Amino acid sequence: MRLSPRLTRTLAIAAFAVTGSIAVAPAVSAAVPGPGDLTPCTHDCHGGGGGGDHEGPGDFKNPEADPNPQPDPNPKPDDPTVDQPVDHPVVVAQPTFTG
Amino acid sequence: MKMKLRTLLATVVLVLTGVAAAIAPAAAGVATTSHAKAPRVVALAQPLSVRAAVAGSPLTVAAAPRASSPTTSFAPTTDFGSVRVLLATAHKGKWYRVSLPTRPNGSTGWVRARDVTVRALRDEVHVDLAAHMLTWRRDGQVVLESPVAIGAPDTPTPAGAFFVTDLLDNADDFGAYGPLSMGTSAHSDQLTDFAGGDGQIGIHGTNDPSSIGQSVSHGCVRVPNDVITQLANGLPLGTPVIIG
Repeated sequence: MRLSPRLTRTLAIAAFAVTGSIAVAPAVSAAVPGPGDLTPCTHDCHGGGGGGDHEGPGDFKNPEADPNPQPDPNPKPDDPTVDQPVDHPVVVAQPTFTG
Repeated sequence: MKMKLRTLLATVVLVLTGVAAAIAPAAAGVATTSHAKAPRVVALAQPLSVRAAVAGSPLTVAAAPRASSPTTSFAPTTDFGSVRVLLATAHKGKWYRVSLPTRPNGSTGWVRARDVTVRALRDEVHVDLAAHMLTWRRDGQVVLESPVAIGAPDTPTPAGAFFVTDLLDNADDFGAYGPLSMGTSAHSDQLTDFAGGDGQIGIHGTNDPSSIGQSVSHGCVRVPNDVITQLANGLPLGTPVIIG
């Protein structure tokens, strides 16, 4: 079988496009986070199916990665410490309530 | 044969175009999720007691969650000497919305999170005016239920969401307030002064047990003395008190 010059040129362009896509694909995969990893993760990353350096479901946690995470020095208002002793000072005084 | 090859090539081009279209929105999505959202008022999962971060310092409360908002200062202790504690039930960014122990009942303000320390509250007291019943719950589970006396028709106990401001040892175990009492952030709508106070509503014991279950007080909630002993020894400052 002898291909026409026009068909040969089209075939060459298509082959170049396919080869280029295969070469670029890994880089794109690493740069685009998967579901659950939209927020960049810095430490203690669990879950999510993202590419790149993020741990996916079932991945073992790297024991060398932040073994003793420090508490946030400026916690958000919606992250209170729950296990605090109750605030219970009874004061000796004569009440003046409405009775 | 020539036509089949062209069909194959066209298919390859279409597939590649589709892949590119699928990748583009994902990459764009990463960029759009990084922009900051404006803070909004969010109810706390658990109520918090709020006190000044520096012991002995007044609590500065703003009218709105903005640095430029007018402020009110609350003394480090109450008139009875209790540590000043407020109740937070919501936040907006780095600000807590707090209930205030002032008139009118239901007053609220805002405190900066960095200016206060907070503690999660597990308890809640509910006073059912119609049933003359008080219920103490911890983590949603009933700890104690008791009949109570409430305000008479001309000096009714005000309804609303309040909190415990004081835990007092009354010194006189046989007085009208019983051995212990708890101050609340509620105030009488009829009495602006009473027994040297400003009409603050309390929950306390009694030297008249027969009044329990009736509407006879000047607005306070009376409970049997054994009940006030359990309440005052088991509830922290800031505990929500819901009257209705």
